Formats: sequence, C-alpha cells, structure tokens
Amino acid sequence: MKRIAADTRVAVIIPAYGQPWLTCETLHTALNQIADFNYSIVIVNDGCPTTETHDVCQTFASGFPEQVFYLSRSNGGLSSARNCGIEFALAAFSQLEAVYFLDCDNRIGPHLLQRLVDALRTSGPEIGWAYPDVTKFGFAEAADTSGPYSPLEHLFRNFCEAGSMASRRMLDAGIRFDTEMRQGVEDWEFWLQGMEKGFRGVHVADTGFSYRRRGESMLVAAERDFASIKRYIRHRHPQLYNPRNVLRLEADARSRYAVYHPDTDCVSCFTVANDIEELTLQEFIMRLLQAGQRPAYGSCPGQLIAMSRSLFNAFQANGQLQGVLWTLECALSRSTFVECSVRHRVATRPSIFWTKGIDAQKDGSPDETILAIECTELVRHALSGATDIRGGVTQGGKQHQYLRFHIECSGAAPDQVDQSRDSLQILCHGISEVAGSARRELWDGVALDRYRAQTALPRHVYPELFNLPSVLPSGAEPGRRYAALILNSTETGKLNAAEDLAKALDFEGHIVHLFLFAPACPEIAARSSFSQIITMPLPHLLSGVRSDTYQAGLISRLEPGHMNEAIGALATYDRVVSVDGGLSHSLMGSLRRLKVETWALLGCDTGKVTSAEINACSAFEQAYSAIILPDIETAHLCRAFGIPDARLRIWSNVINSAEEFITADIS
Amino acid sequence: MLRAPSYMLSRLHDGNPKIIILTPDSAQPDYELPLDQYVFQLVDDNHFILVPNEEDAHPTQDIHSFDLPPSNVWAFWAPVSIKDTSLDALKTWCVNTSGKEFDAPIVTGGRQALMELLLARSLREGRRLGTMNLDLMRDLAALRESWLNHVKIPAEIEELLTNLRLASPRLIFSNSDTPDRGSIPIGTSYESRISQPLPIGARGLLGFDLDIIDTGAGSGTLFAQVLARDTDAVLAKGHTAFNALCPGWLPFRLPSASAASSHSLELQVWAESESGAIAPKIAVTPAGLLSKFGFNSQASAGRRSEMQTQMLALKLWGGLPGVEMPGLERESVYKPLAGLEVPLPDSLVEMVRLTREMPASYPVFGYMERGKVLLRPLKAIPSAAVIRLPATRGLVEISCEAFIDDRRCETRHLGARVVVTSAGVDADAAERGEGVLAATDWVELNEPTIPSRLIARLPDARNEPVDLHLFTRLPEPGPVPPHGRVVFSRFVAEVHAASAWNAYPIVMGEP
Repeated sequence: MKRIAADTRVAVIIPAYGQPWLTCETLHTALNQIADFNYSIVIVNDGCPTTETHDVCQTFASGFPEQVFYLSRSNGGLSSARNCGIEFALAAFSQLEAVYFLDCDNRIGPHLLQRLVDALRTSGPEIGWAYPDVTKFGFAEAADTSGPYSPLEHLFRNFCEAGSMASRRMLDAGIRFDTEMRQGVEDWEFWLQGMEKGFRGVHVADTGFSYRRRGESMLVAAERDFASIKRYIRHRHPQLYNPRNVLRLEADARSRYAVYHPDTDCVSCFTVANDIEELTLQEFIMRLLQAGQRPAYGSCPGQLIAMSRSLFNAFQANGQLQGVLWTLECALSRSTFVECSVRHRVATRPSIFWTKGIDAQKDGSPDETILAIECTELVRHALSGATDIRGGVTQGGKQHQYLRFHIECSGAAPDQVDQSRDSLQILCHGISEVAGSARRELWDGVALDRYRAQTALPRHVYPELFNLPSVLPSGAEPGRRYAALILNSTETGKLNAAEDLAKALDFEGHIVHLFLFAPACPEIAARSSFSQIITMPLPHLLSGVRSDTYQAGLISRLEPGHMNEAIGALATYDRVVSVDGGLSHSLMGSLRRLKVETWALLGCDTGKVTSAEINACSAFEQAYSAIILPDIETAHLCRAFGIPDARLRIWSNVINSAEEFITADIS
Repeated sequence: MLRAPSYMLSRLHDGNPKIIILTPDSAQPDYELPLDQYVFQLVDDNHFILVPNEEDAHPTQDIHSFDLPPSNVWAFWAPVSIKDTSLDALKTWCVNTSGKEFDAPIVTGGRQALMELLLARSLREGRRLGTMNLDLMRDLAALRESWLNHVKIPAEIEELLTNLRLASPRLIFSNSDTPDRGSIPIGTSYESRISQPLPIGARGLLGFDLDIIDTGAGSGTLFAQVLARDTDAVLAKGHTAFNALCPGWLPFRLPSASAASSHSLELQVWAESESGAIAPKIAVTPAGLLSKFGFNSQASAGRRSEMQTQMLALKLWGGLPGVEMPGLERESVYKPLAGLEVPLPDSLVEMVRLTREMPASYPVFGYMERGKVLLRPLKAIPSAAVIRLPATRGLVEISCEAFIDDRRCETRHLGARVVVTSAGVDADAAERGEGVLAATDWVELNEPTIPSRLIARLPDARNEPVDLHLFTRLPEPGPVPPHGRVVFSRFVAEVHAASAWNAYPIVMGEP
C-alpha cells in the first residue's frame, strides 16, 4: 500500500481552517476519484484553533494512511497553507505531475482529477494549468468558464478558479501563492504569475467542480474590497499590466478590428496590420454570431469597418492605415454609426485631409465610403429588420447616433463602381442569412450562461486597466522599440526637423511614427522616415481644443475626452517626442506615468527658441524625461525659466545624417 | 531541526500513530513497539536525522529538512540520555511550527515509562473516538428529527407545489423545424453508440422524442439513456424492440421530471440486434451555430466543417421536478386534461400576416423580436392578423398573452381577441363565427404592460392545420388614442398527450 505515495502523480492540496464538517464532504469527494493513476491528498491544517478541524483531518489521515497526509502548522493564511502543501508534495512525491487545489468546503466530481490530468498530458509545454467550469452551490449559480483560454481576458477577468490543477512545470518554475494576499483572489494572482512566465491555461469541461457559495464566504469579502485587490495584483505584475504588453496580447488575438472589404467579400481581422487573419464574410459572420453565444474572448473583433480592399491597401502602403482606423475608432466611441466619404486626388506623394461630412447632392458623390459600427450593434440591426441604421436609437453611453466625416486622399479613384455604400446592406443581409442557416434563434432560446460571450472591444480592457478608452495599436514587433514624434502643424521647417529626428531615432533602432494634431497631412517629401503618419483630426472637427494661459502665454489643451484618446494614441510607444510643443505638452505627464519616455524638442525648425516656447515648455517640464535644445544659449534661458539642468540636453544644430546624431548633457 | 530522506516524508506525515525514537548514534535499537517507530539520530546540538532501517532502504538519498513536525506522533522517546537542551529545542520547534498545543510528550528512560504513556494515550484516544462517534450518532438523530419536525415544509408551500405540479409539462427544446434534415443509422453496439450532448441540465427533464425515419428490420432492441457527464452516472435508461417502432416521433419519458442537478447531459442511443437485422434510422438536423452540440458517432467520424455539424432531431420535454408525464399509464390516455404545452416557435409567429389593410405613417403592425406581434387598433372595425399553423397532432388549445407595450398609454378598454378557425377562413368570416373551432371573448386591456392571457380551447383534439386570427379594437369609434401599442406574445399550443404520438411512450428507469 505504500506504493501509492511512491507513485503519486497528483497531489490534492486541501488547506483546512474551520468548517470541519464541510471538510468531511470535501475529503469524501476527493477520496472518491476514479483515476488510472495514483493520487494523494495533502491536508494542511492552517493553525485552526478549533479541535474539530484537527479531529476531522486526523481521522481521515488515520483512516487512509496510504493516501491522506496531514500537515499541521501555525496560521499563515490560505496562500501560505497552499504553498506548504506544494512544497510537501514536491518533496514527498518524486513522480508528481501536478497538484490540484481544493478548498475545504468545496466538492469535486469523481472524474475531475482524471480529466484535468488528461488535459495537461495532452497539451503542449506552454500549458501550465487546467481549469474547470464552476457550479456554485449554497447560493446557487453556475459559471461557464469554457472556451479557448484568452490571456487578454485573464488580465481583466478571473475565470480560472482556485479549484484548478497546476502542472509540475509551473511549480518547478517557482510559482507560488502570494502570502501577502490574505483578502482573497490570490488564485488570480497565482495564474497571472504563470502567464508572466509564459504559461497558459486550458479549460476542461464536465469535471463536476462545485464551489460552496456562502453569504460570508471569503470571496464575498473579497468582492467588498475588490478594487484595492486588483490594484495590488496589477502593482505586482508591471510586466503584464503595461499598455505595451496588453497591446501585444491583443495583437496576438487579432481582436481589435474586423475590416470588411466589399470588393473582395473578405474580412481582415487584426489588431496590428502586419498580422492579419483573413476570413470569408460567411466565416466572419459565423464567428460573430458564435461570439454572442459561447465564451471565446478575442475570437471576434468587436469593431467592424467596411472599407474596400484597394483603399485599405492604399492606406497601408502610404503608412496611413493606423491613423485612419484610430480616428474611426475614436469616432465610434462617440457614435453608434460612423460614415466617412472618401475622394481621391492625383498626387505624387501621399497625403490625407479630414473634414466634416460632405453633402453628396451639393458636393457630388464621393469615390467610396468607409463605414464603422460595433459588431453587436450591426447584428442587432441586421436581425431587427429595421432598414435605416442611421435613424436608429443611439447606443447606450454614446453621444451621437450618426457621425459623418470626409477624407480627401492621394491616389487614383477605384475603377469599379463604389460598392461600400451598400456594404452595410450586404453585411446585414449576410448576417440575416447566416443567422437563419446557423439556427441562431434556436440557440437564442436556450438558457446558456452568456456572461462571457462577447466580441472583443478595447473598452473591456483599457478603461479598467489604465483609465484610457483604448490605445492605438502602434505595433508589436518583438524586440523593436517604437517612437512617436508629435507635430501640431505641417510647416516645412518643422517637418524637416521631425524627419531629421526620425532618421536619428531610426539609427537607434526605433520604428518611428509621425503624429499630426491636425485634420490634414499634406504631401510629405521623405515619408520613408516615418513608417506611419497618424493624423488626429477629431479634436479639430469636433471642437475639442481649448486654450489656457500660463504666465501670460497661451497654451492649447484638449478637452478631457480628446485628451484621453490622445494619451491612448501614444501610450504604447517607448518614446514620445514633442517636436513643436503646443497640444502635446499637456499629454506628457500622463504618458510618463505610463512609463513612456517623453522628450521635448525646442527650436526644432529655425534653431532659435522663443521665450513663449520655453514658457510653454516650462509649464510642463516635470513631465519630460529630456528637453532637447539647439544650443547652450537656449539652455541658459531654460534655466532662467526654472527648468532644471538634469532635463536639458543639447542637440547638435546640424543633423544631416544618422551618423551625425548625437545628444549630450549640457554639462 | 528534523531531517530525513525525501522518500520518507510521506510516511512521516501519514495518519498512523508513531513513536519517534531519539538516539545519540545511528544504530537501530531493538525495540518491539505496537505502532510505527522511526529512529532519529542527534547529529549536532539541534538537529536529528532519520536513520532508515533496512526495509526502508531507497536508492535516492536526498535529505529534506522538515518545516513541520511529523503527523500523529504519540511520543518522542529518548531511551538513552540526550542533552536536555536538544530536547527542549525540539519541543520549542514543534510548538512554534505545528500551530497547536504540543501533544507528543518527550519520554526519557526505559521502555516501561513509554508503555505507560502509550497506554494512557490509547485510552484517551479511545475515549475521543467514542465521543466523536456518540456526537455523530446524535447529530444524525437530530438531523432525522429535524426532517420530521423543524424543517418540515409548511402545508401551504406543499399545496403550492402540488398546484404547480398540475401545470402541464412543456416542450423546452425542439430543433425539428427545419427542412434541412437527414437521417443516420443507429450503431448496433454500445461502442458504436450515438452520443448527443443535450443543451439543457438535468433539473426538470421529463423526457425526449427521437424522430424515427426508418424502423429497421429483423430482431433487435433500440436503447437510449441519459448520462450526467460530470459523474458519468446514467440518470435514466429505456429500450424498445425494433418491431414496436413506427415512423415519426418516438417518446421516451422519465417517470417524473428529474430533480437531479447535473448541468451537462448526454443522450446515448444504440441498438443491439441479431445478425442480419437492419438498424433503425433516426433523423438528424444541422447543429448550426453551436457545433459543440453536434453528436459523436462512428457514422459521423472524420466529418466535416463546423457548419455541417449535425445533431439528432430532438424534442425535449420538461416540467417542475416531480411532475409526471400524462399518458404514461395506458389506462389514462383518455384523460381529458392530459395536455402538454408546446410554445409556438418564433419562426412560425414571424410569418404573421395582416388580414385587414392598416394605412398609417407609423408602425402599427409587424413581427417584433422574440415571438411578439404588434397589432395596433386603429379604426372603428377591429385590426386583424393571422398566423397559419401547420398540422399539429392532438392540438387542443391555443393561448397567448396580450398587453400594451408603451407605458405612456392612458387609454383604457383597448380590446384583444383570438379566434381559431380551420385553415383558409378569412378574418371577416372568423369574426362572424364561420368555421370557428375556438375563440375567446374580447379581453379589455386596462393596464399597460400587464399581460392578459387569451385562451382558445378546442372541443376536440385536432390534427389538421388551423389559422389563429388576432384581433384588436378601440374602446369606441373615434380618434386613434396615442401609444396604444397592443402586442401579442407567448403563443403556446397545448396538445393532448395521448393523441400527439403514434407510439406509446417508453418509460425510462434508473439502470
């Protein structure tokens, strides 16, 4: 009989504290497992003062000496008790493959261990843990945790219960419960440690895991102070909870945009445009409808944009795609439906001009149209039978039902007749057809747990984690750094300075994007310096720019909504440079808090810096990591305005090539 | 403080009572004790290391330092003198790490002292177990008593439950209303069974219907069972001979609606037959959006894209746990009230058509989502619409709800009515009473949003198509009152249980 311990493959770790008679039930279900491997039960009495707890644990240990092992320790909390069990299991069971955490008032089905172990055994090495569905008894409830594991979702929602199985490889990687967390939710933090080390979870159905939900259970207590617990968890995992990492996960999921191309009848799903999943329209609609029924977070983007393939390709080739999509996304956060007419004009170099919507009857028909709508709204509209989405009801939380814009951009008009005008009808018709053939109504009528069944939207993630509506998907190339240069106007001198700086940053290994806080980007000669040119037209088109005075100087600022969007647009860059001050100054403080390196460039175009420029910069100097100056004279002037030496750097006043780029401390 | 080879850890923490023998050297003492004994040698002032005996020899010798004292130690025994400071340090370590009072005394000296202590401990342990057993028996007695008295369900609740159980069982899932159906032969062994996940949990499940396309030939038996997937427990099992089958819906019924709580169920269907027999075929239908509800079988192995996933054509019946299916007893098949509720599918309600012109510049008629029909009263003559129902075996009643879906409506006495006629009778004739099979009176809707139930009961069970006419009217001729949006919803047909199937139900039992 000693064979069981020697060949134990799974240890069930049960921290015991209080509720001794419920612990009997827990132990009973743990002993009733049907498995083709040996498993042991490790009870850790966490210094429970009641003798009944000891009696129950000791009685079971005595009754099953080959299978139940009993550790008694002074009180250290749930995490510490679980860790104690882990260390014991690792030391005592040389053949251990996994541990299963079972709280002392919960129950498990007879096949739970076998099914979780099977899932771990058949998974790749990246799978660190297996988690079950949860039936909550007591105050009854069921929680459907099914669907493919989404690390992105796991950042903002804990769907892996403590009653999960951790593989030996996770434990060997040193992952343990955080003993500082004594208010609950320590299981979430444990799995996040796994995620941080590159592990992922896998869902296992039909395990019969039952969570006892009592009025004063620990989880209820945790819910009371959930905000501070979440703050603690995020603080513990800065590598996970930073905008760049979240964007990387979102990029992996390709869950930001679904761009429907009416000319090819395909849908491009992506977050960053160099990693696109192409679907047929029918495949996409199927996925969209499934997203409303079953959990699969990230499988279907929540924002749909209809744009011809030729226009999409042109924007991509001209480095304008990210900016266009971001503007549409920002507009969509305000409006149920966004329509953007497009007119092409012949030009030798790429350009783009945003204006308010045109009147087709007065101004002539556009060459094509871009439409944007959230996918769930599109489905609702398609299945309601209503004909005109523009006249529908404004979505909750949005200010407008319908926003219209117009783009004039470089490039030849498409040869074929504009189809995008009808793209909404095509989509609605397609949805209605697929919904019929896929029997959506049948499944709609079935009482399924749909609380996690949703398309992916930035607002599920970024407001909660960073208090930002979204972040612009700057890029997710591994090992590359991204820099953003901000301009308020496109005067030649400023553009030249930005291009010079871009070359220098490129030399340092940055991928450089140009941001224009303006509704227009004229033809830029050396566009190759910038891999993307992002115009930010909405503050100007929607009257979102205000002015304040600082020491008699006029300083522009954005209204709060536009400000948050602008910060979100820049939040995933490693370095952001204000090339010509203006609106960009007011963003830098927030960006620095998000660990973005912030630079200001003074005297960018002429090499001469005015007092007004220094005054404006001095109002925000604390927000900058570095302020780059053309010469020592300017440095003296900056000091006179109260800008500390430590931030000031001199940039050689002639930069003609990357090799000549130098920065030096003023000292 | 204590160290031992890792492979001994589990034994030192098992539940067996133990004696830890503390010695100054590594020799195994020759003591015969009535419980497990482990020898630890003092290797320096404060550390003891386990001396494995020969039968515990193990190839790996990695030494583990104990964080916690071994479990269920009845005594630490130092038969040969060991420094008091070392024993005190051991005791302090045990107290500090174990989290409970130190209940394993340290005995020094001869075997007699140890045996006396073990005897006392045994007696104490016996008393403890006796007390626990007594407490347990009294707890069970109290629990039984409480079932009799303290937690007895109040009579009025029992009466309420009884009344609730009078409600008809109900069709809770049906995937059969699609033309896109096929058939599959039933595998002729349990190993080749069809396994169909069910989209409902066990609680309230009363039975299911399978659609027999081909009854097969020869001698054999068709089996069906419902399995709880989390426990692999069979909740109900039934069977019938091939020669008892007839084409159409074959009802399998539990004796009463299940009170089990499994969330995840699987229906397994297979056949056993003599050689030369041909297995029956049952209907299948596309699973559509949720391919997870597709069935598994050898016949479907290696198939096909998500959109082509098939599930069995099914009707699932349910009711309040404990409700019995009418018509299960053959002698009760003619009970007049033995009915089953069948909600009209939305796809049928969606086909509602206006039968009197209603010119208006705002919405006055139409199918709304989730089985609702808007029919606003507009004129002196009632507004009228019709839903054409296909042939339904054993149809005995049609009912629906009518309400005003605009809270701003202040008009009282808006009227609603339903009339059931033979197929093809127009609205005027229906209103005049020609070809009418059943009808309600005009029901006045006085409170917006409070639904009124309209019930049209047929005098006899009917198997042919019928038309369901909907009418609404104003309280009196005159201007159209604002916000008078009369909506019909929750259309339900009741079928006579004994007339609705070709076959007698197969009563399922626990295996």
